[in-house]
Amino acid sequence: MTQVMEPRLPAPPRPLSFETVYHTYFQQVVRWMRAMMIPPADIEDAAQEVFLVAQRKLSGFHGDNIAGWLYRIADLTARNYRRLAWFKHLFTREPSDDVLDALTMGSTPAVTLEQKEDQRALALMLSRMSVKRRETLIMFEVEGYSGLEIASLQGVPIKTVWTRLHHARKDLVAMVATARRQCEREAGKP
Amino acid sequence: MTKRLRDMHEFASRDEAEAARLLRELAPAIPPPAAEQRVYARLGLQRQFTPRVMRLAVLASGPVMVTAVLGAALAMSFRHVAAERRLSATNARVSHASTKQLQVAALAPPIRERVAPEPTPATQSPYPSTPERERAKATPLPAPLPAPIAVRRKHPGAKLSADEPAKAAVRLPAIDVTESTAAHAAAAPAEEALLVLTGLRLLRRDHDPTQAGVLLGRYLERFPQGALVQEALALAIEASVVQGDGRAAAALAEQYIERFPSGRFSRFAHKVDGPRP
Repeated sequence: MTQVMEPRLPAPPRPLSFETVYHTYFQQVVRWMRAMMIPPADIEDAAQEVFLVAQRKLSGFHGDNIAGWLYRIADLTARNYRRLAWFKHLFTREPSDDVLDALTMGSTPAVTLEQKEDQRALALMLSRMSVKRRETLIMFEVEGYSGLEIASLQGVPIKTVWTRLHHARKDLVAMVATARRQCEREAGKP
Repeated sequence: MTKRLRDMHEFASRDEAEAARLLRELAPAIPPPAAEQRVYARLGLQRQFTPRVMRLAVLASGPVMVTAVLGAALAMSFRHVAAERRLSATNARVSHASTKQLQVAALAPPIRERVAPEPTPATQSPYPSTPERERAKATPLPAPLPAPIAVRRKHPGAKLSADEPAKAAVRLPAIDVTESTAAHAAAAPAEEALLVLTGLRLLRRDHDPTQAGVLLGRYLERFPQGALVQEALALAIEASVVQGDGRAAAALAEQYIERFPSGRFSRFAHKVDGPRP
């Protein structure tokens, strides 16, 4: 069982410089990208895209919620990535291995084959969930963000976060039940 | 405060416990230590070079695009002007050739007498002789029709009277086509075409099937193996039909079918001649 890290969203000192923003938020951006189901192989490129945009637009940013601003850029970058992936797999209509491996980031080489299969099964279930619910679920359950932090990042009220989380859990449990029934049916066959 | 599913120990159902177990299998995403430096280095490289290169590319692409568009526009206008010139040159050539053809046609009977004095038995008129046809033969042929394009191009502003082209044809100096056989050989296809064309105009435009029939008969006499025999025969059939001379039309159609069983106008000939068993 892995320990959940309790992330903090630090506020970089003012005036904002790109270097400070980068070093403060690089790890956070990578974790957001994973919650957005970007495959581990593409996470560095996606983070680079996010910081390129941030670098270009930082002079025009005058708000307080720099984490929320970066999260929004990351969200748009991930959306572009998903669109490209959808186009790439337009004719196969199968979730690619990239997506199934999206959640394997952070696992050590010592994980067993059974654990890998579990991770792939969970990734498959999460890929069928709506984007907002999935992101909220992963950020809360896996990445260890609090409800308030998620609300601040996503720019939504805290109640919306709880609602999304509730529905995401419900969906996940329903998908687990379906998978279990299917396994039992296959096992019952001669 | 909402508890995390993975931290719970009591579950409402088996499936919820299984979902919590699956979530526990996942670790938070921790990027490798070198990733931060790696991405920062790439950003630095891009920061130094990309904007400058991009700016140069954008600045350079503007004039290139403008030049390309202007070049294309100029090329198209030059092409248009060249096409106009070529067309006017062609029209001038056509007008010159048409004037010569008119002159040759006006001189057609003397040429026949001088070049081919004795018609062979194979070149007899394909028409059955009727009194009306004999009368039409005796009357002189009208002057061949002028080429309208040529006359209009020569005098674009002037109004033309009906007989002006014919006068112009008469006023032209005569050409001695017997000067050389080469000149005659060159004139023959033009005359051939002119006879059929004049017959066609007489028949279809001037509604004069009698004169058209005479002219086409003359063609068939003079050029029994000509390039336009099929057309001449078909037009002759049509002229006979328009005149109401069913027998002549049938005879011509039969002749056509015999000579060209699968010719271009065989269906038309069959219709006139009547269906064959």
